[in-house]
Amino acid sequence: MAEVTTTEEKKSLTPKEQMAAVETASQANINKVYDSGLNAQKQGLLDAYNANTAAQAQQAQAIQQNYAKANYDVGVQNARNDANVTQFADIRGVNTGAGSQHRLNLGNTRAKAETALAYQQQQALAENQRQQELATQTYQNQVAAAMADNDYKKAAALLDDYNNQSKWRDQQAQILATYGNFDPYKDLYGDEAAAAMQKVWQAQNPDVAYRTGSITPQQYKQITGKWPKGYSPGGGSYTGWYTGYVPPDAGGTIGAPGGGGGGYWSAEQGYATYMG
Amino acid sequence: MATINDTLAKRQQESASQIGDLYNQQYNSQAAQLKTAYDRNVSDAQVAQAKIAPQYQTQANQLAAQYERNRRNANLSAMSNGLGTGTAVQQAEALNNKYQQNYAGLRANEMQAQTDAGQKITSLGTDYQNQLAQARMEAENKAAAAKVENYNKQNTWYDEQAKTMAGFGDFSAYEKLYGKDAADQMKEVWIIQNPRVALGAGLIDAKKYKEITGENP
Repeated sequence: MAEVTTTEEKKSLTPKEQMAAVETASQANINKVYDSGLNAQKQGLLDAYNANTAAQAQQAQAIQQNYAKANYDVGVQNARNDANVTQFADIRGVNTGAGSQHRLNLGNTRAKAETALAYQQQQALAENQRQQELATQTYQNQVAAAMADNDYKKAAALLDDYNNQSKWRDQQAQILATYGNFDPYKDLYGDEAAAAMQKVWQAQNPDVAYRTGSITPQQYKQITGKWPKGYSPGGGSYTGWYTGYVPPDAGGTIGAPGGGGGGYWSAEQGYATYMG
Repeated sequence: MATINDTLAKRQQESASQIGDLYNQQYNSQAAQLKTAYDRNVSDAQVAQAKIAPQYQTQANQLAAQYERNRRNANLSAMSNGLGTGTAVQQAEALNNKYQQNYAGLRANEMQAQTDAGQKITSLGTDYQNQLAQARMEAENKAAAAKVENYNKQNTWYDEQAKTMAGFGDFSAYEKLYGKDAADQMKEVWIIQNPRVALGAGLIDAKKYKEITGENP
């Protein structure tokens, strides 16, 4: 139960308001817990995404470096071959035309090799780019899925909480009713039904009801057939349990046996009259 | 002195923290297992990748050696057969082109192998990171559900304590649930129903006792 009110505010809150505050606190807790969980999940996904894209970028760099080296190697090898054939041609005294033909061939071979490598490099980089885009897409999908999953779980928790709170409210209404407070039942059954329940409780617990100010001395007398102990109808010095006699000044209005002049009243009669 | 509300707040805070720690520990343990597996896989992949360059270099060396052998054989053959200069050079040219093509092809294959090996290591990293994120998501989901469940348990505990305390005339816990006015009224009811206990506990004085019971204590 979270702290929801100050001490001053508590005095003015009704059970209904206070219980609503408890429910609000419970729902706030669910929201807080699931929101916090989602943030942690999103951070985890972002960490993974950052690591993945960094690794892909590193891989792209490695591809470029590797192919640059391969190109260089092919070039070096080509130069070596050029030197070999040129030397061979010189020894053999091959004319300029044959030398040019040889260089043309070498140039073609080298161009073909470089083109093939460049194509292959582009393919590798394209695949790398595709992997990076896939990582971005995966990340976005994972975040969306995490949010949807979190929303679903949070909604389920809130619904569960709503049902629990309804049950809890019923339990609290029962507890309060044992102490003569039927306010929560007003929400459940309506004012009329709650008032009827309260009347039953007052009839079952007239002393407590009177002492707590829930019923008047007259109502007490209607229920029990006697005045509350310590109560003096005429404002005199009467104390102690009243034995059931209805004085004229109090009994006249409730139709006590003996008419307006007063008389004796049994508890059953008082209860029946009181309950109507 | 701590009140029931202080105790509840403390219990909720402590248990939420314990739940968080518990699932963090589980996540850390799972993350450590994933890291161990990832490191082992990457290590294997790196060993395999490290073999690529020497393997292709060996092939390149064999190719070069073969080329040299072919070239020498061709020269010898040309000389012994008395081939003309033009024909010999053309033969050398053809051998050279073949070698050049083979060498470039070899390097291209090596590059492909290097790229695949690099991509494999990157993919291992991607899988590892995704598994970590997944483990974290699961841990967070479980922790959230456990925290909500615990919150409810603590509230149930509070209700039970409120009932227990009410049995002893202490309605301070109910004040939290229903407000001060309702709790005061409940306490009044309890005192009227238990005047002797209330007097003994010092909740009412002798005058009040007499008001309730009509008798002196």
